[in-house]
Amino acid sequence: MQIPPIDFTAVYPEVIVALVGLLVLAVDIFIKPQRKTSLSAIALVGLVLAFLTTMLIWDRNETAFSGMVAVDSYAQFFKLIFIFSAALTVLISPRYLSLNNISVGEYLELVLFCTVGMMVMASANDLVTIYIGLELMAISIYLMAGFQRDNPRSCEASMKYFLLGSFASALLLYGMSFFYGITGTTSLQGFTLSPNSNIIDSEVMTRLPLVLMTVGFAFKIAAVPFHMWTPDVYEGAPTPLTAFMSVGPKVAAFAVIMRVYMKTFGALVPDWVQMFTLLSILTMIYGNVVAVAQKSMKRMLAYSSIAHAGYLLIGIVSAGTATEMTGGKAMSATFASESMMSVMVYLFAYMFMNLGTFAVVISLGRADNPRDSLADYAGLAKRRPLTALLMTILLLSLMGFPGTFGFIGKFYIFKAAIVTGNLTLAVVGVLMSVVAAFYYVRVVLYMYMREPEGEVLAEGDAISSTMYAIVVTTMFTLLFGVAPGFIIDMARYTIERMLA
Amino acid sequence: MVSFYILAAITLISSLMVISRRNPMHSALWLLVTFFSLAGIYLLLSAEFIAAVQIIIYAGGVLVLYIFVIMLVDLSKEAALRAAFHKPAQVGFAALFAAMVMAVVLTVAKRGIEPSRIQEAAVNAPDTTRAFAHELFLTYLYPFEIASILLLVAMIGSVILARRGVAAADTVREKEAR
Repeated sequence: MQIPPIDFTAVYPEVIVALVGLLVLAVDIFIKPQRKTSLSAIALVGLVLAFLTTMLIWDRNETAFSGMVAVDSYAQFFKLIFIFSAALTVLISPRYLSLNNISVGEYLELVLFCTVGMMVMASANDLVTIYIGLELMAISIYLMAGFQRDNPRSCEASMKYFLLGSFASALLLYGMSFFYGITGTTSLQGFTLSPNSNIIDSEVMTRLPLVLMTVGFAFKIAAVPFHMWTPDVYEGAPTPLTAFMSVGPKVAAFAVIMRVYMKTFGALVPDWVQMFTLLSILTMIYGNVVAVAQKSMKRMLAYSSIAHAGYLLIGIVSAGTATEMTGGKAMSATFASESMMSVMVYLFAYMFMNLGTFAVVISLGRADNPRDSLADYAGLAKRRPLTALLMTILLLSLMGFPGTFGFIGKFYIFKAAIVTGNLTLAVVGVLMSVVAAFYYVRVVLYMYMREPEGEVLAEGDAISSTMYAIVVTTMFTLLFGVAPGFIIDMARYTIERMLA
Repeated sequence: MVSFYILAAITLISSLMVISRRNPMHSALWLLVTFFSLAGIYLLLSAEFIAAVQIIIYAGGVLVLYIFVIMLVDLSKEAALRAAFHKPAQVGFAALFAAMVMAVVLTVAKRGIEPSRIQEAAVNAPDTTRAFAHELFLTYLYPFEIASILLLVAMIGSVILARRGVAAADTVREKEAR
């Protein structure tokens, strides 16, 4: 019997993160409660190791495990984002967890296993692998959202996300089963490998899996009208987890969308471009307009994260239209890879600035009062000048202010849209960025201009690992805002190899 | 052919019994008969792996779960339950749904199915268990391994959620004691 080669080096980052998760699980049982912080140290060391191994396999370009896993730099790029976001989440969590009596060990395990799920998704080359990774990610998050079981809001968040999430998973699976029925394979190369191409030409049949799978993925990136769960879940879940889930699942879903739609559904570009255009416009308008009306910081950031998914979809649409463009294959390929590069850079920027902003919200909370309403930020600059300054930088980056990483992301996305002729999307995007500026700058105004009303409760202590996370994210936001060449070259390199 | 008719008759009769018994425990036991006769039909189709899985998972696992649930549910309010499930709209919907399913079944039965699009070795293999194992542990090894982590997470999760409830109750009790 022929045994296909099993190459574990291809999935070293996943293996390491999973093993560290198991190690935390084992150590958690034996360690004294007052020394639980060492668990965070173990997790961080493990993530650093995973980072190093990801760099080690950076240049490989092949498939492993009989075509189940793609080992390419595209997957490694996204794995870097997941490792960074998991490490930052580990940094921002301890303070919040100890304030709210959440067990550190269980929380860290689930963060690590969730990271494994996202890494599996990013490197998946088969629908089965995508689905298993997606469920691993989703189940960990359902659990973490419901960690505060005595808090009704947390339970509501967990339950809502679980029910709607399983429904979306079911739709995704339904789409995948049609895909299998049509092509006879679950491999992402399905449409090209299939021997019987007359079925591919039939109009209805191929669009069914496309539409169903789009709904499933749109739920994960929280695109309007599949966003209903987002505000409530983001508000009810523990804040460090909100930070994690506003970044991780979204990035993972975008990684899968770009791979599946550009490679597998390449023949159906006009169809999915239409769908994503509609989703993008709705998402940008709804997210930004509703965010203006929010009084709670957590809810405002939830709606702003919906809006960011809208901007990211512009990049996907541009990549789609670029492949249809006439005027030479080389040119259309360049435009497509440039558009996808813009999405990847934006995702990288979004990870830093969003996690940083949530970290500020966490660092201000107290055990008896989360202090996340807008009024609590009045006069913050006098009480905590450094935090207010860092928060201002992060908010300006979310807004897309020149000199920050957020600007670089937005600039390339809008540039890609204009170059590929998606002027409507670019105009809507720019207009909505102006609306977004209103609610981001409002927080800055509250911090610097407004005097607090009534008695002022002191904020939480400033010295904690949460503060490190804020400083690190702000530094990266500024660094890559001034010198983005490194990230841009990296993204361009990976995407060109993936599309080739 | 004779054995097929015998098994088919047992399956039909026992499944009729499942839905017509008043005592839910009797229904569950009749369901067991249905599972076994279905396993026999799978064997006739030379799908011995599915037959074994049918008995181990359905008869061994799922049915035990059913019986647990039946024992946990308070059946003394049967009349209220009965009323809750006999609204005209519900009956109408059930009838419509059943008609739709029947329509699909009849069309498929009339036209026949073409499983020709799946050209994997498993369909023609003389030993389906071996073919199945080959696919699961060689081709689909990676998703299979990830699925084990998925199950671990689900297990950790159920422990966390269940224990948290006990812990919370304990703290409440401690407070009251003080």
